[in-house]
Amino acid sequence: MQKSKSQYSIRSNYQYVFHNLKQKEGGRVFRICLGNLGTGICLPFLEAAMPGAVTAALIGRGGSEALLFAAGYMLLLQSVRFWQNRLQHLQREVLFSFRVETSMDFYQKCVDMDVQYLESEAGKRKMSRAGDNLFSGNEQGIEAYAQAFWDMLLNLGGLALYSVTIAKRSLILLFLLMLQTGLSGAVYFWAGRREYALEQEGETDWQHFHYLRRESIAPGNGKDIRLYRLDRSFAAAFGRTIERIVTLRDQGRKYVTWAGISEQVLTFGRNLIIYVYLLVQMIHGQMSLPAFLLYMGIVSGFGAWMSGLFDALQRIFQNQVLMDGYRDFMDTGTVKEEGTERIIHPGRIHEIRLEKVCFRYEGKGEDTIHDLDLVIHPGEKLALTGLNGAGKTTLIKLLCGIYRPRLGRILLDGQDSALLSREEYFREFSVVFQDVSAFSFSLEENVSCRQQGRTDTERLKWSLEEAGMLERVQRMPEKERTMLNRDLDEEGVSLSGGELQKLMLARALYKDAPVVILDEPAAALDPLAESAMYEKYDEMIREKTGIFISHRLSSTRFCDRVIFLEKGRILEEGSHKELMEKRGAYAELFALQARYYQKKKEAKEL
Amino acid sequence: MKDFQRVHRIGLRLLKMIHSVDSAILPLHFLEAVFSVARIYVTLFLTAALIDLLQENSFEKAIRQLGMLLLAEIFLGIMGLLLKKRFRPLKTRLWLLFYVWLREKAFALDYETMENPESGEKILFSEKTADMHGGLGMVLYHYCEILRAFLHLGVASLLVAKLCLAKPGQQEGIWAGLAEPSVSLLLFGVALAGMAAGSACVYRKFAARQREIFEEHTGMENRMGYLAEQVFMNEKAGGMIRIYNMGGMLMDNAQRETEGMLSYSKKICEVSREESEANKLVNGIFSVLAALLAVIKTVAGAVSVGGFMRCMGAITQFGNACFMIVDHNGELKKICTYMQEFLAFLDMENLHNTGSIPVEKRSDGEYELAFEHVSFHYPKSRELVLKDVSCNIHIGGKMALVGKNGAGKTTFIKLLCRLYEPTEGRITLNGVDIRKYDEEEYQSLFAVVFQDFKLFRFSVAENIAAGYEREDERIWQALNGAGAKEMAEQMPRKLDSVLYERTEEGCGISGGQAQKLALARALYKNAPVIILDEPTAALDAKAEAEVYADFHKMMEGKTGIYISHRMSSCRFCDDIMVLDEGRIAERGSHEALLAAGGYYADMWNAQAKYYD
Repeated sequence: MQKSKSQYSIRSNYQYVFHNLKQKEGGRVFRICLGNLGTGICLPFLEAAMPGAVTAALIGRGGSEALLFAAGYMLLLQSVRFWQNRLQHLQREVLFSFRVETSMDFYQKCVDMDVQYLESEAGKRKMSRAGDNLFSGNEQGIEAYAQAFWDMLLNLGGLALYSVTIAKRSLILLFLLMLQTGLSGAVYFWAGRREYALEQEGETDWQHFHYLRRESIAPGNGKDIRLYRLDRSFAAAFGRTIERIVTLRDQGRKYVTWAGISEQVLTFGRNLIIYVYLLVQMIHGQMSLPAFLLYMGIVSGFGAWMSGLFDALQRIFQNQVLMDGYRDFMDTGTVKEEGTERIIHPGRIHEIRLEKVCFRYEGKGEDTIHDLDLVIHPGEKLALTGLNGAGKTTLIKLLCGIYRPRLGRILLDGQDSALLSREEYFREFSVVFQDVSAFSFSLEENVSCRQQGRTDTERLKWSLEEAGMLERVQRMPEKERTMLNRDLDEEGVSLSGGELQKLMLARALYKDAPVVILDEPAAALDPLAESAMYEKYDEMIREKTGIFISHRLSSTRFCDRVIFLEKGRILEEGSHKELMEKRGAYAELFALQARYYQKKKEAKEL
Repeated sequence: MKDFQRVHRIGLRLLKMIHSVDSAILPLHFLEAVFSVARIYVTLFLTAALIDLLQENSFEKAIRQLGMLLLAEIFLGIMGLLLKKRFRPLKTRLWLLFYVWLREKAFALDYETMENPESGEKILFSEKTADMHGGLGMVLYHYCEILRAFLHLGVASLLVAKLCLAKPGQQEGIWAGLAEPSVSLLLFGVALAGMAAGSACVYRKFAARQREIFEEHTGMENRMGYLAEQVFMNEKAGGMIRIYNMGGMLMDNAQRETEGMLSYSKKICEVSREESEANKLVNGIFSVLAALLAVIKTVAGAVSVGGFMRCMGAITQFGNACFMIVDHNGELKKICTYMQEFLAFLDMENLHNTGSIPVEKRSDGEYELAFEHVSFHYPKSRELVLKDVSCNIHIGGKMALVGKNGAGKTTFIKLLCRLYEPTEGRITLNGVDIRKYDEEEYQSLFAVVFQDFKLFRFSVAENIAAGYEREDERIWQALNGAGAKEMAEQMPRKLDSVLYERTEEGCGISGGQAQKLALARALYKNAPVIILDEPTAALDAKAEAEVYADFHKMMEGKTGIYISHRMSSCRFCDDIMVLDEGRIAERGSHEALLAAGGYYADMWNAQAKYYD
């Protein structure tokens, strides 16, 4: 459990937090926090000293003077309380805004990160840990971390004030108090850590609980749940998970209860000694009643400061892990920082050459792409095919620069892509990926991928038209300004799988890059729409290089050259005709698919 | 007043629900409240007595008094801790059960009701408000606090009354006059009335404002959640974002959303800050006035110094208790208003009656299904998805359902399985309207693999047996039938391997593998009708051929219905139904339809031409 040595010291983390805090919220935030600190220290002291002070006035002064004093004291107390409350609220507000604003830095970093890294297990973990620092509410993460610092100062301040007051009377008393509160604090600290450790253990149960919560009512799951009586499976799973969570929490709570009981016992012993000591002093006439009352207040308040201090420290340590994760992510290098060479012919058709390219996913024992040589000529129409898992999608991610080869080089017009500015390199590709999904922003933004007001309307129309989507868009309530999905807009429109695929195609056309890559672009289209797309393909990628991926071999018919991949290597290549004549793996697979479409007699034999 | 009744009717219903989970919860909380109040007053009384003893210089008694004070403190303190320890786990359970109750209801509701996004939103709203403002646990908490406040109020009132009624001592003049019981009562009455009026005013002013703001900006947290999880931290979208250089556009949207969120939270914070300031002010004025009363009484000699301390404590508690009652009642009102949605959801009724006739069990699978002039549109739209469809489904045959995207194929299946009911017309089984059959029994006739089928993070066995009895032998048979036996055998813990789990023992599975498992689940159900919606969409040519090759074996003695964009699948079927814009355009055998040269032939040729 969180035993890993922290990379960043607490000091450096706080420097980081305060630097950013100042940058985002200005100097005001420190004035608020200092004010809160001051009033927060004074208020308990004034409250504790009140009985003694008023009693002194009552005993020692005349009636009206005592009344005046009491009134004055009460007014002072109430106004400090009022200000303390206000400043506390303000501090919470400003730290909350700080967290929300910090999320913008995080988003920017997510966008700039290297995707290959983000997709790896390590990258995913790092990103999600960094996200936890921001999105776990205000009791965990960066906001709580900043808050804990001020709480620590507050309790230190209170402790100092009380200590000085007591030390004036007797150092032994102070020592006793320190001893007891230190001991109970340590016990609480220990119990808290045990509880926290158990909570970490229960993390998977929680994840499972949230998973069940989500999936049991997720739209689209209802059909299967009803037809397969999965409600019973869910009920059983809920029962098991809750049982585990409750048991674990109960165990954790046990430590805290025992810590509480031991604190009660320690306090009892301490009070006994201290009060007897004070009483003895009184008996000897060395202490007045008001003084006795003051010390009673101070003694009983002392523990609160100490436990507050331990609590703040505990929060600092707990959130230290989250802060580390966050800074680790923010300090990781980004794509923007690598590759500086300019592309010689931006926006023109390119020759792409792969030389002995190897690629392996992190944690995998073997290469997904192995020792692959391939030249894609300018303007060529290439079909990439093979069985599931042959490496088709990986290969195109290598081609368009999302992944980098483990060994070997990819050359764009003879320039090594590793040395090129990645941002510029990306500009040369329009890709329709296999996972189609649209962001819940406006349709226009989803196609042009530009900020509001920067979309070229004519081009948008053209690309929607070409993708066969224009008619549908014009039927939408706000046309191209319509919001997609209902995450951010209740009136948003949800698209079907086929429509999404067309939208992705429109996006690729809008970008108008010299290399167009389509990964299974017809999987969700019906036969007529699929066929229409194939027929338009030529026109769509005229004077561009086109790469078409599909395991439907029919799509290879309109490509100049077919690359048949198997286990990350090129098994066969050539035109459809050549490959059929070769009677190799490609021909075999083609026959397998084609036989259903053959005349009746052959089909019956199946 | 009506409002008050409404709130507490809801509150009491919720308390009853809490009680039904564990009958110990309420008594334990009650006891804890009593102990905590007792602790405060015991301390107060003993301290006051101690002070008086000290002032009289009777030190021996004082030491005895001190001992009692300390013992009482430790005893009551430990009792409180033990009680808390006892009800903590109950509270956790309560908190989690809240989510489960909502789901149990969701499962019990019919598909059509739950498919309506509004139902899902109702659940999410109930949960979101419960997460933000506290759910059942907070209802319990606020009721306990109110109880605690009333206990305080009871004891504190006695003490305050005693203070007010205490006759001044030997002092004369102005002090004696001021300390007269009647004057004291007047003074206290003014302070009390001022506080009551003040807090009522504050409450009225802020409750309305808070609700306004809340309604204006529901779902802001959800929006932030969307940005974080679905956009920026969604590593699957990463490639797309880079290639299309979407960073600027995304950050622009994030900026807008963040600004919205900040201005909203600023408003919320301001209101709650001002509310608490106003309350502090009202309470502060009361405290000052009441303290002056105590001072006057003490100066006049009506109470001792120890008595003064006791009264100060009582006054503070009195003020706090009044404030607590108003405050917690206000909170309860807020929570109960939200919880009303939760209860309304639990009270929701099914749209349709579930029938009661049992379905005749026939070993020969001789069922007769028919659509009679069925038209259908989805609840939220007016567009008919099916238009006057009439047809018989031949039992024991293999039927293919083809058509364009949006032609109504999947809707046809959903109606057949009684997930929706026809808007017009009826569907019959053996001549009887299917609505008359017991729903669960009727649905046991169909095993469907939908296009967007779902498997869950359960073990392989649980995924395949689903809600039915687990029999390992039959599971292996089903796996074998679906061509997934080998795959299951290679999994680390065989049938007990958990799918999609993110541990070393969990199994990530590909889309093709998932499809096979879904097929196995359908086979395990052993229903007379098996329906496959795009069964091979995620499979490559080789795997597709394998599945097709096994179809006949799998379907032996059963009725099969296929939906597919791959026209090739029609070759297995002796009966093909072509849907176009919600109507049956053509129906017949493959050869007959091809010969007819209609819509089917067009679609067939569109794909077949590439394979010539």
